[in-house]
Amino acid sequence: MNAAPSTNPEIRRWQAIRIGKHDNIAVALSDIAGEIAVRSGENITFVKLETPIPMGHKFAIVDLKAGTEIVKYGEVIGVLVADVTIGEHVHIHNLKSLRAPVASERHKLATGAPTGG
Amino acid sequence: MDELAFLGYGRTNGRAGTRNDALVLSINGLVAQAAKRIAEAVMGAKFVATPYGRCQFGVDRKVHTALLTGIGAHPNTGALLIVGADRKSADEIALAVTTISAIPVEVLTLDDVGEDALELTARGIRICAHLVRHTSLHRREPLPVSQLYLGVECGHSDATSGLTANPIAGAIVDRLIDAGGTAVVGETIEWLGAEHSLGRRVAEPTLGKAIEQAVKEREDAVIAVGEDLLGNNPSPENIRGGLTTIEEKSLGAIAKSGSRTIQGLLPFAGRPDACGLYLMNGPSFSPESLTGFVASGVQISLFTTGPGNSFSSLLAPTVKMTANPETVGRLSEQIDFDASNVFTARETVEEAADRLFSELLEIASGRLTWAEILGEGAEVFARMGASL
Repeated sequence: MNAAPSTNPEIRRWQAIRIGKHDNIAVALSDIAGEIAVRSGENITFVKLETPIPMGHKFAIVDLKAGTEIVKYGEVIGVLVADVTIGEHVHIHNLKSLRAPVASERHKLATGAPTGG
Repeated sequence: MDELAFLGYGRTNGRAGTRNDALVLSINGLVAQAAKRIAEAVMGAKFVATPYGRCQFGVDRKVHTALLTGIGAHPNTGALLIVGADRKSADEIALAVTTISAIPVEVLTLDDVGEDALELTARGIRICAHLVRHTSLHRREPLPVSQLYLGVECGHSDATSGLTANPIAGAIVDRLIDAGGTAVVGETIEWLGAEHSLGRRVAEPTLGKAIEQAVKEREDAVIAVGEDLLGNNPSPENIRGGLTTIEEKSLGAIAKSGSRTIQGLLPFAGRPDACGLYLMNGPSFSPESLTGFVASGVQISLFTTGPGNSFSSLLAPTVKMTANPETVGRLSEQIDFDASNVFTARETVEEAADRLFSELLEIASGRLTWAEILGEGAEVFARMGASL
């Protein structure tokens, strides 16, 4: 299989990525903790994580207030329902979808069923 | 090889082929088994059969005909034997194919052999043998990358897909479109929550509305039967993997479409009338989706996966790519391209895309995918309605 070029294959150059240049979160590329390197385009910045972040999960890269829209891939993916500080885990406990409530409401109207959370 | 060329089979009409098959195409389920015997008796013949072919109506029948025509007229098909139950419908498909493609087309039906399936088999083998011999004359030649029409599909995604594999696929699409090629992305329900993002890239404004409408129709269809599309979406597995909202999940999925302008929204199995990037309004199940791409004229597909997925198109080489390092280690005879160095932060998306683009050109030029070697390919006929 194609081997990728690398100057030192043993060193992970960064532990998280900020995908879109205006994203306000970054995503962990493995289970990470402590002070970690975040790649954003060509740049590397460092963030101190509040708690360990599992692979694939998001954390704030700036302090954010409740009601702020979270941006990933340059797009809004939901709205914060609590304040977060830099390095804090952002997930189902503090981030809500803007689309899901609309869909749930349509389902409820059509079937009379109670909506999910 | 020149970076922007591949070795392909030039065609008189339409795009070049990345493969050159003699195809036995059974257009009616009544003769599928006899047609299969024909193909199995002749080395090198490919075989596609629909289980259906009668008692269909409306959109379902139109789509079924579009699938058969697109497969018969496919750029990778160098010669075609249509096997049918009755002369009339077989001739209709043959006519439709010959308006698109200039390859030799033969037709054989039960009507021709007094409804004798054994006689059908015997005659079919002789015809197919001549067609295979004809295809063996054709040679590859250097052709521009603008001849390529790439399908991009995801199957069995995980946390690595939206972060790395799909953005790499999107970078490939961008490169191909910039080189004058064509690409298509389908799986309509996976645009749910990301319609506005797609809508910002459309060539003209009504297209944005059409994309929203395509998603809404699927939502409506699910609601109409009392099921809840978003009750379990993102799923517990998605949530464990870090996906929080449906918008996030869908944006990760559509990352595979890159960033270039969307020229149109094709109906399922529809063919583009110009080069560029297209969306196809279609099902998310890979076998159905990939066949829709093939009918559209896709000659090679890129397929991103997380934990793995062995299914492939039969006619269009389907290149399996993952960024999950554990999957790469586990599926050494399934994964064609290892993107895991991006996920482990040893390589950037752009570096991986450069490598993958070269690999795609090699595969377009004749390198076999694992799925081709292991016979994992099939074409599947999605239904759009019930039979009469």
